[in-house]
Amino acid sequence: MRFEEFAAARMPAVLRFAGVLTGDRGLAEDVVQEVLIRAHKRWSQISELDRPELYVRKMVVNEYLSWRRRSWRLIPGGTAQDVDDRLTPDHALGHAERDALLAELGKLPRRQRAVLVLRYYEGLPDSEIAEVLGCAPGTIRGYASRALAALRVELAPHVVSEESSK
Amino acid sequence: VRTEDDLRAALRALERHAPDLSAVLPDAAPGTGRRRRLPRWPWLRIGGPVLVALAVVAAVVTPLTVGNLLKHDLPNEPGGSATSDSARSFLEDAAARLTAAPAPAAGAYWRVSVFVGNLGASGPNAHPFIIDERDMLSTTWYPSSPSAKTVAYANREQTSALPTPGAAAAWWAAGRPSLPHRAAKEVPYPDFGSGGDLGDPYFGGQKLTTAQYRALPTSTAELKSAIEAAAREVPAPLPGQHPLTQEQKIFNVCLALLDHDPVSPAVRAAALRVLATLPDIQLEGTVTDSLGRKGAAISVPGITAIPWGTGWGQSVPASMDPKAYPRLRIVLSPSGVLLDEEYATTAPSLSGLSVFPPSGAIPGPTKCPAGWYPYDHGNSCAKDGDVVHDLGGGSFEITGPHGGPASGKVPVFLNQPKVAVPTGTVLAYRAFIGAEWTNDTPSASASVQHIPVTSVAPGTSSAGSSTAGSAGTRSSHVVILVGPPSD
Repeated sequence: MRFEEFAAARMPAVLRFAGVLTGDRGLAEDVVQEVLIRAHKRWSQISELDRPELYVRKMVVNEYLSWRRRSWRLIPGGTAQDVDDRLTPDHALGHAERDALLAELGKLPRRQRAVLVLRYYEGLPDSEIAEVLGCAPGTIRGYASRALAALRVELAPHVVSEESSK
Repeated sequence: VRTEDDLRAALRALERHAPDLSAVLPDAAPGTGRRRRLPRWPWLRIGGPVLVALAVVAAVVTPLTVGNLLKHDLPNEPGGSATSDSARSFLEDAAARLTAAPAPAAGAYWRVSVFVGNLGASGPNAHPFIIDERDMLSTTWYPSSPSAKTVAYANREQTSALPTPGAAAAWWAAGRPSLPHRAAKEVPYPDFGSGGDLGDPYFGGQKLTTAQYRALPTSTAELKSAIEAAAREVPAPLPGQHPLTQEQKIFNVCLALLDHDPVSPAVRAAALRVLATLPDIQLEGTVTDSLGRKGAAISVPGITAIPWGTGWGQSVPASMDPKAYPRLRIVLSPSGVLLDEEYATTAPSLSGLSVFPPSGAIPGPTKCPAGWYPYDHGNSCAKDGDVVHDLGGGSFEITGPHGGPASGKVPVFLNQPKVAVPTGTVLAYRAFIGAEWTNDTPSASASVQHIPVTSVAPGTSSAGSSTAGSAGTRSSHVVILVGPPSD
């Protein structure tokens, strides 16, 4: 697969993933662009991999985890297209709980957030999340349980039993 | 009760942050005029895919003596008046001193050491104080040889300093809590291709090799033409951003040369003279830089802090007033050495900044009165018609006709105490420790590991300080460096 074909076919999903992972369009753009530039340079190797898309996601996660943006925090970043629609009367009540959850999600350490996004948005099993993050599956379960506890999300019984897979 | 399905639904709602494909492609189709460059600043590029293989090295390497690298300790110089004429004469004098000094012989590597940090708020909400988050010290080795690679050693040990007497007093009042500290980590640099790709440095919209840097002209007129040409290559800002003026681009290209690109002192001197030709250039006076060195602050009104430089077409969002942005000022030694790039507030309280009214701390979580919609657990309140801007990183700004009763029309940073800072406060900085040619082999031990910081007993100079938590004017002799938490 050529890089251009990959970009056309697979990138929309990667872009959505980056949007969810970062929760910030500007950051998602920066992260994905950095990854694309690097992936483009090394495309001949990446395209040889079994699952180039998973590898690109891994690059996105790593870029997100390492992104240095401290001074950016101090700079106004809102743009017109980022205007939030959550305050319109129709949405306000229905989305209050979701907003609260998202606000708490925003406070999680990035690694924990990444684990939740990979597990609950991408639907990856813990073994693949471990591969993406470069650590042991047990570590992933630790991140996930800490993050879920922080968000006060109650686990469905079948997920708890997944612990037996170690 | 929240369920996993609630979490799934909430995550799907974040898809609205997905960028457009056209915004992220490395090279947009020709003719679109949309080509963004990588950030120029090395500290923004540390990490990447190598992170998972991050070599965590305890800081046991023998630190290089920094005395010889910290060459810019300067005597106190009288400040000049803030007029364009004195900025010109300062820059001309500095250029003359640069060219008079013997040019160093080129070596195998051009070694640059940089220290970055920014202000942040810390402490309990009742006693917030400002800390200087001294975040990263990095040394980058740019090779002369096109077959060698750029390498860098970054020490991400984070220490915190209390930058002012007011901050020290507030910290004392808060019961001297432990300050943020992160153990030292040595971070590998992203891979750069060889063949003369140096990595970060940009000359306007272009990337130059060491040889091209060496070939830059030393006459002011010729360098100015080259800089103007490079400035024209700077990509247009993205849609929804203010256009960049040619003066801003020229300022940024000059800054790139001065901020320790591998150029000769003669080229650097010519860059100073080009700066002197900018119509609005001004000398703000003598300031103390982020490492406690005295220097002259030079700026151009209206040139705002674009943290990554303009090299890749980044500009101020159109929804923001550029005048309300932090402004960029540079601190130069009398001999023309760039000491510091500083991002300073332009007003005591600015929409969109973690900057709050000079009256002092803003209380933490509040309950919203009837008719107001609580946002983010009551950290702020808003009414219909207000607009919430998600600034990322868990921070939000509310603008619109109402604002919030507790916060006013200021942004709300979740779980962070709010501290007032006055106009002119340096919010973020990039300080240069040294740059020189060397024949050393790149290694951690031959890179700067620590920088000396004046340390004084807490509380001694803070008595009688009135504005708790205020950043105020920085003054190196009251810096309190706090090491690892003692627990």
